[in-house]
Amino acid sequence: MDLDTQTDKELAALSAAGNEGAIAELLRRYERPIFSLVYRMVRDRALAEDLAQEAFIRAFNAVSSYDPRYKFSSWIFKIANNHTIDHLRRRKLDTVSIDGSPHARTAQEEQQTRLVVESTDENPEEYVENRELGDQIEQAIGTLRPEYRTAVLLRHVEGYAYEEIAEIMDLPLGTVKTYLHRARSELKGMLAHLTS
Amino acid sequence: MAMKHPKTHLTAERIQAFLDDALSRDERADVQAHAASCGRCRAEVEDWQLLYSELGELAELSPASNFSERVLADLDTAIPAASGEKRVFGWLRRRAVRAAEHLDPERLQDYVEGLLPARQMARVSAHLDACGVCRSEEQQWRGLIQGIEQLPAMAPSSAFAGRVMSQVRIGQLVRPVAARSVARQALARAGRLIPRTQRAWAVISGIALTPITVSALLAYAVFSSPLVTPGGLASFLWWKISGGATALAGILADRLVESPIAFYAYSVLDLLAGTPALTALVAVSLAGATGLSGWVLYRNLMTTRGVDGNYARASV
Repeated sequence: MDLDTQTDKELAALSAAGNEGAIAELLRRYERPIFSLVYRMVRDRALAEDLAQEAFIRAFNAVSSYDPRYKFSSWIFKIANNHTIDHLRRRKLDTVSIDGSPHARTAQEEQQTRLVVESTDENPEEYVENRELGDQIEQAIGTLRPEYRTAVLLRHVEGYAYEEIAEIMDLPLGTVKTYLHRARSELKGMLAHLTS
Repeated sequence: MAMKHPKTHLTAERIQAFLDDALSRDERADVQAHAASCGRCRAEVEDWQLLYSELGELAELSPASNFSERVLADLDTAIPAASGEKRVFGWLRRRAVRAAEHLDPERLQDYVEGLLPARQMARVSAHLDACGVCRSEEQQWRGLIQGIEQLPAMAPSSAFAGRVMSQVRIGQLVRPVAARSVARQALARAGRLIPRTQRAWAVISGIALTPITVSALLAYAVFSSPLVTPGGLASFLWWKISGGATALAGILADRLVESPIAFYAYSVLDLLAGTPALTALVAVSLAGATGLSGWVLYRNLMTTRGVDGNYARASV
């Protein structure tokens, strides 16, 4: 069976029946977006890997409870987001540093927890310039409330529709709109020197 | 695909004739097709439409026979420099901008996101064409959103997938919920009944203490009388309760014996006693129905829900 061509829902059904290949395919499809979201929520690479890993394990071990009336992506993002928000609430890790873990004790640890980006086609100058711009945006996003952070990342990084964000965050559509308006206004204020 | 527009642009007279509905159907179609493919002429048509709408509004306020001439004369005096269509349109735009307030941030964000209905999108677009402040704001919102959208994708370490797969209980995914897990869930549900706050404890204590206190007060009131002894009271209560229970049982037995249900039940039992095969069939059916309902209950209550019943909450 060619798993690449199967839909998420079909793969979820196969996973619930114990098909290891289907689980691996779902993991391949979602490991990057889920890790990106979690990393940008906690800004600590090691912690992000732990949280994303726990979220995937919870999801796959309970995949038989997935309701196919909803999108699989919404379901798995919801699990990852709830898990990350729970962690942030427990740890009160609301603000974060830009270059590595806020808990790093040595330069080596900080280096190890720095953001790792995928290779791009940019030339070195463009890369450095975009990296600096991106860093400032990342930093500003990192200072938002966790709920605002989730909404902004899901909307503008993952490209989800408002209705799906409402589903993932378990919020009314109007609340999602308000979160996004406020989050963007806060970001605009923080990044006024870049956007003006 | 958009048609390539002719090199000759629409004249002011032709646009006015178009807006005055003075062209034939084919000529109208030509003008529309040209405006659709030529940005400059489309802008000209919109400018003329704006002028027409302004004139229309003024006409409602002061309907006079030489109204158009007077309005155009007013426009000329309002624009001291050499007048012309461009000047008139510029003046009208500035006036429209002054009349309208700047767009609020939420509306601008919704415009940039394409969330507004088509009519409001057109209105905001017209405002932005005429208002430099709002246009600048709009550009800032676009820049911010583009900046976020260009954040790089990130990947976990290469060992990530292996770690996840090693902890997924693949062989157990299709197994029914174990009895230990059911007991754990029952305990978790029972645990939710334990009060978490002082106020909740106070309410629970109040509910528990109220009947005890009332009973104690009643006992005190009764036993404080020298004529009442505990043994005497117990005998009295027992006499009353047993008397009441006997009377109630008598009433119920009378009703049951006299009811048609009892008659039918007796008839059925009589029939069954006479036909052992039918008795066996009924017994087997009852046993089957009991087993089936037990299985349905098990499937619905034990194996299809997550821990909290939420479709998206994983149970571990």
